[in-house]
Amino acid sequence: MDIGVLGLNHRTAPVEFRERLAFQEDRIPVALNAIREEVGIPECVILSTCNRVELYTLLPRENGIEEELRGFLSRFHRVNLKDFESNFYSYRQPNSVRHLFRVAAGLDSMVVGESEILGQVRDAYTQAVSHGTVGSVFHRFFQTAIRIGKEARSKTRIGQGAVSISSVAVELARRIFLDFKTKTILNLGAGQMAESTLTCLKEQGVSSIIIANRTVESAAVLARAVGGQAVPLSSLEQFLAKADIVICSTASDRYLLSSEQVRRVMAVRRQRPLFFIDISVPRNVDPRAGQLENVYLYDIDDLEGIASANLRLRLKEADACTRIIEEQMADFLSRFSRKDQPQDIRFQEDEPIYKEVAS
Amino acid sequence: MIGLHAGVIFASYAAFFLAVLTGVAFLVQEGRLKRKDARILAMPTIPLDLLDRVNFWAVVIGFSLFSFGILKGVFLARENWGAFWTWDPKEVSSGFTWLAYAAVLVLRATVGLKGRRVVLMSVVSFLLVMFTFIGVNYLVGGKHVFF
Repeated sequence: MDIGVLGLNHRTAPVEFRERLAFQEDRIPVALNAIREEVGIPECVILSTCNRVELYTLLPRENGIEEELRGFLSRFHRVNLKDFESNFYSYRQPNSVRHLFRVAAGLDSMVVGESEILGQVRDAYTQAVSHGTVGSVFHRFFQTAIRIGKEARSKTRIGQGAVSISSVAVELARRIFLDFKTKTILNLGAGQMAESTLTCLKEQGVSSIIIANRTVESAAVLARAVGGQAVPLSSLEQFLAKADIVICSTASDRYLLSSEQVRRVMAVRRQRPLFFIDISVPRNVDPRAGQLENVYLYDIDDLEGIASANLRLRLKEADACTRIIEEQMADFLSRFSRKDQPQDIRFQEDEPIYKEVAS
Repeated sequence: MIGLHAGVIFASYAAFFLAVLTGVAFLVQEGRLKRKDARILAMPTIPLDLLDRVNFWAVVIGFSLFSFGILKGVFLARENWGAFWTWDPKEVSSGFTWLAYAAVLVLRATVGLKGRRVVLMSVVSFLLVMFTFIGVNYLVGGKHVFF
C-alpha cells in the first residue's frame, strides 16, 4: 500500500475551477463514504479549503485505482475532468508524504506560514476519523503532519510578522493604543475593502464602530454586518473628533480630508493620537496630515511595503522548515515500511495514538 | 530634617528618571511609526499611549516630590543659613529644574499637548536634574556639601 494524494491548489487551478471541486463541509461525510465503498479505498482524508482540494488516500501499489478516484470526483461534482487534467497534481510516496507535511507547515500556502491551514488539516483529519476512514497509517500520518505544522511555527519564524494589509494595520494600531475596548473606529466608505480590517480590529476588542458613507443606505448595510452605527459623510469632522482609528476606502477622486481639517480636529481632540488607515486609491487623506503631531497616517503602499517585507522574512525561514520536514519524513517513512505488508499494514503502536484524536 | 529633604528630592529624581526611560522609549517608537520603519513590527513594543501616560504620571509624581523637597529645603535654609532663599547654586539650579517640569505640566494641562514635544521636554529636563544633583557640586560648589 502506498500513500497518495490527488488534488489541486491555488497555484495549479484558477478559483473558478477550485470552487467547482470544493467539498461543502456537510457533503464530506457522503464523499468519504463513497470513496471507501465505491472506490474501495480503506483510508482517506479530504482536505477542502478555498485554496485547495486534496484527497489523501491509501492506495494499492498497482495502477488504475487513481483513475477511479478521478471518476469519483467527476461524478460527485458533476464536472468533466478531461479538460482540466493539467490542473491536478498526483503524488505517490514519498512525495505525497512530503506534500502534506509542507501543507501543514504552511509552505504550500498562498501566504507562506499562515496558520489557518494547520487548523484546516486538523479538522479534515478529525472529520475523517469520525466517519471511520482513518486507520493506523493515516492516524500516524496526519498526527505527524500536525506536529510538524506546530513545530515549524514554534521552531522557525515561518509564521511570524503580519503579512496582510489588515493584520499589518492591526499590528500598527497595537503599537499606538493599549486598550482597544475604549477606542472608536470611524470607517469612511462602505466597500468590501475595509471590511476585513474592520473585522480584524473588532477581534481585538473594539466595540464602537461608526460607518460614514455618502449614501447612508450602504453604510447601514455594513453597519449591520459589523455591528456599528451608520452616519452620513457630511458630518465628518464631528465624528473624527470621537474616533481613534480611521479606515478610509471610498472611491472619492480627491482628498476627503485636508491637512487643515485634521489639524482642527486634533485641537478638538486635545491631541489624542489618531491613526489613519487609508487603503483607498486614490488616497482619501491628504498625506501632509501625517506630519501633524500625534497623527499616524498609513496608505496602501506603506501597509503593503511592511507586509511584503515580512513575507520576505518568512520565505527566508522556508529552508529551516524544509529541514524539519525532511527529518520527520525519514522517521515516518522508516516506520511505515517496517510494517508495510500488502494486506495488513500496521504501525508499531508504541504510543496510544488513538487517544490523541481530536484533542 | 535634612534627611527628609534629601530623601524626598532623591525620590523625585527617581521619578524623573522613569519619565526619561518611558520618554526615550516613546520617542524611538514614535519616530519609527512616523517614518514607517518596518522595524516597528519586528519586536514587541509598549503602546505609545501607555508610554505617554506613564511619562505624564512620572513627571506629576516627580514634580510633587521635588516641590515638597524644595519647600522643605526653604525652611531648612531659614533655620540654618538665616534666609528662605540664599541664592546658593543648588537653589538656583533647582529653581530652573522646577520651572522646566512645571512647563511640561502646564503645557499638558492647558494646551492638552501630548506626545513627542512634551515627552521630549521631560527627557531634556533631566539634564537639569543631573546638573542640580551632581553638576553643581563638582562644577560650581556652594553650601550644599553632601549633594
